[in-house]
Amino acid sequence: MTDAAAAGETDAGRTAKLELDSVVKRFGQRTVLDHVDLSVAESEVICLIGASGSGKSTLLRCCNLLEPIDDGAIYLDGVDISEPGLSTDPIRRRIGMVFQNYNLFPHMNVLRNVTIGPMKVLGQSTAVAQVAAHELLAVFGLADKARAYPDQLSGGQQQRVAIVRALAMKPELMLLDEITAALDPELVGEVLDVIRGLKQERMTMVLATHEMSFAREISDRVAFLDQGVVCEIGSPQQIFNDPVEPRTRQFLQRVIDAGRL
Amino acid sequence: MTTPLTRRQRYEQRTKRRSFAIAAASTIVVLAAVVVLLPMTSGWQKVRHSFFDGSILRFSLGHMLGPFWYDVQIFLWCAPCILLGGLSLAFARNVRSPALFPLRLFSTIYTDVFRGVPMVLWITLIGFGVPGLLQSRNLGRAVIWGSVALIAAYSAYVGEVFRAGIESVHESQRAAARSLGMTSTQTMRHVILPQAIRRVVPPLMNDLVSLQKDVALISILGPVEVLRQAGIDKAKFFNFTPYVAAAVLFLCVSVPLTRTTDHLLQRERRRTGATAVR
Amino acid sequence: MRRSARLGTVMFIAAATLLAACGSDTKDAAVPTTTDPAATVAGSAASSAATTTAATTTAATTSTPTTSAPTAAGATKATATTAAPATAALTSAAATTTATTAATTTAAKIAVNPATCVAGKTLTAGKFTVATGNPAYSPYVIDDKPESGKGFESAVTYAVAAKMGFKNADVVWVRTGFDEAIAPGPKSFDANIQQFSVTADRAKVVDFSLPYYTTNQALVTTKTSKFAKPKSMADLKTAKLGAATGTTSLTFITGVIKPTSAPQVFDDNAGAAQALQNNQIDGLIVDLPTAYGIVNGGGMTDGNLAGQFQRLSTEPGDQLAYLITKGSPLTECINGALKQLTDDGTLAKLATTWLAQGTDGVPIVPRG
Repeated sequence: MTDAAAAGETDAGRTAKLELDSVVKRFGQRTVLDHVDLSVAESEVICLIGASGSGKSTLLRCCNLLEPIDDGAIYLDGVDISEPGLSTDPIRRRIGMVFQNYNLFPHMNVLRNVTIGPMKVLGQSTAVAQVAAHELLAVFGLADKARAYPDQLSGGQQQRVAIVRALAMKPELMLLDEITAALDPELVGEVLDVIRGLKQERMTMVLATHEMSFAREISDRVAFLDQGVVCEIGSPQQIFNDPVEPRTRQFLQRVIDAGRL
Repeated sequence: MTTPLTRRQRYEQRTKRRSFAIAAASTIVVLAAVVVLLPMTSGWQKVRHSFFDGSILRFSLGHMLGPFWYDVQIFLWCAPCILLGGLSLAFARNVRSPALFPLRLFSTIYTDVFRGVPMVLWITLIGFGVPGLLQSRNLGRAVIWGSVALIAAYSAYVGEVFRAGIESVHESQRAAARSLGMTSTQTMRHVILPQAIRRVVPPLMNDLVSLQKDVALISILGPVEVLRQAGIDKAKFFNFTPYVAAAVLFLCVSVPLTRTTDHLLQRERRRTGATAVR
Repeated sequence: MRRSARLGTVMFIAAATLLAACGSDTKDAAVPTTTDPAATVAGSAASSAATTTAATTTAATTSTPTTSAPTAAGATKATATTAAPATAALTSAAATTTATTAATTTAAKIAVNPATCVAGKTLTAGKFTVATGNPAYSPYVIDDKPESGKGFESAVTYAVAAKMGFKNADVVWVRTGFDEAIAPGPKSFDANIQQFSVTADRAKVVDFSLPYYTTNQALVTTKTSKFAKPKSMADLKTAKLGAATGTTSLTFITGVIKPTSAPQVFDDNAGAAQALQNNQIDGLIVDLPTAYGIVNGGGMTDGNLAGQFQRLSTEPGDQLAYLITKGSPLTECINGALKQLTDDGTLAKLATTWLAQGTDGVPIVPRG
């Protein structure tokens, strides 16, 4: 935990794995996150639901420091990681992130995509990184794809490689941003299976998703975001069966009307 | 063993055959026009003797190899320096840190100034100007300052090519690399640049081929390279054939150069899948 | 991939066509005695005997039915060889005399009256269109104003025009670069005067008039140069020399001086003078009047006319002549005028006026 020590003083009062304290994010005049509070416990799985543009993706990108926040604070293991001027790279390597469009490196084959992080960031030798990568690829059914290039893979395979790439860094926490949104319907299942597997492994995860039934199945808690505000948060049963907020109810009604729940 | 062709295959075969016939016919027509009609023009005899004198061509080709090798040498040391210079300029123009704003400003002005003035002027100004200040036989050698002028000006062009390439790599690639914990330098080195360079190879080749031709401008400063040698021979014989010989020599290098790069690029593209370079 | 292959084929065909064009050229060459250029390049400056022979041959073979006499340049050169041993000319004034003598001996052959000759032979009837360089240099043309009549070439041209029956106002000046003057196709001038030196190779392509001046090559250095006072040509072996491209001065460096380091070649004398100022070269080789112009005309701040090179009795010197389109009927008219100007001493007088004052007394650098 040298990184944590370097990052700042640990706040004894904060016990959550990840905690957002009144986070504000603006793009120009537009406020995308408006005083968001969220706390993620160790091994907890939280799904962020809400309409497009409600701030789900931005929230995840802020957690990974890809976007600097304008106000508030983000704590990882009780350490304020949103302190301006802080070196971001040591923090990011502890947090895995998977994107909607996979964002694999097209000029590298699968093995290289997976080993580049451990080798360049963690300083592992090629041999060590490759052994680990092969193991992970085998676990996710990608053993025969190690030499393939991203464009030779299906969307589901690419997204699984992207997950493996993030896992290869042995992250303490995973942020998953609409990881099935770009997939053909028949390929969604294979990616969701991977997430189920990760939950079994007790991985702490924050997911932004449109897959309501999956959110209900896998979440410990579900947070409904609307116009940059966490409108309602609770257990999946409570949110989906007995939402308190009228806006939550409206949103879920629209989802049901569209036949998605 | 012949399986009957599908409708599509038959159609494609037909189209291919027709387009080949058209290409062959048009080539023959053009060549025939050149071979038959050109000699019928009133000035052809004069032009032929001025530009295509066989004995002068052979003579020129023979003793221009030395001067041409000189061109090639200048090209060979200028090209890597230009690539490095261009890359540095592209980085400087890409810096986002406000603290480094002067660097970005400098590189922007540099690019504008060096691209805005014809090459000949840079060669003359730098090639005659700096040695005038130095007054030293060794440090003031024309080839040194001629090369410096070439490198300085071409870096500006190549820098813009690299910058365009870097900016063409989607922001999401940077996000993916940074989310793995890679530093901005590592991201540039391992993720952005390899993709950017693949994309800019064709325009880069453009610049390198024209560099190969612009090397000849160093002759303004005194060294006898191939174009100067051609000029000397021209003045000797009052005949332009030496220029044709020089053109042939230039083609001997630039055509294989461009063909090879194209070939390598295509192989690379096949290896990484058809649409790897988007 | 396929496209590149096809492109390759096209390029191959193009190359083959080019080679075919050149190949057939040698087969049915217009001049049957085409001298091997490789042979001439070695001998042109070094051995004047070879050059002269070549010139004579050319003159004989290329004379067309319309000109009854052999081409002037060839004829003059042929005579120059016989005349030269008698007068080993060293100064420029004497050099002019050599040309004069040469022309006099051939007088019988060129019995053309320039005044009646030109009718219908010029570009524009009643006008004599003369080209000069752009810019034209002193002392051949003063202040780049050929129409002023000031400067040697300008003065000679007005004298030639007068002999051909033109008034001063009938002389039209145009400008051409070197390449334009020798390119195939119709010309914009009747005659071109910008210190074209007569050589055998060039005479195959264009007509030259009789020479209007013969000069020596000279060396310009800086005042402080260790080559500022050469005792003999051998002193220059270690010098780094420069010359303007396409000049006989350059041939003089490579063929006669033969320094150990390769000559630097410049677009023009201005570039060469700059390199000299910059200490990039030790010396600049130019014809004597031009050398005087560079040193005294403000081209250099510390220029030094180090000397003119001794000419051997076997060498014709650097003969300057009008360049005229190959086979032009006007050549004999201009030659007729030049002959009269030589005979009546006008050329020598003009040379004294415009060239001699600066070039008289320039030390002679002996061979060896």
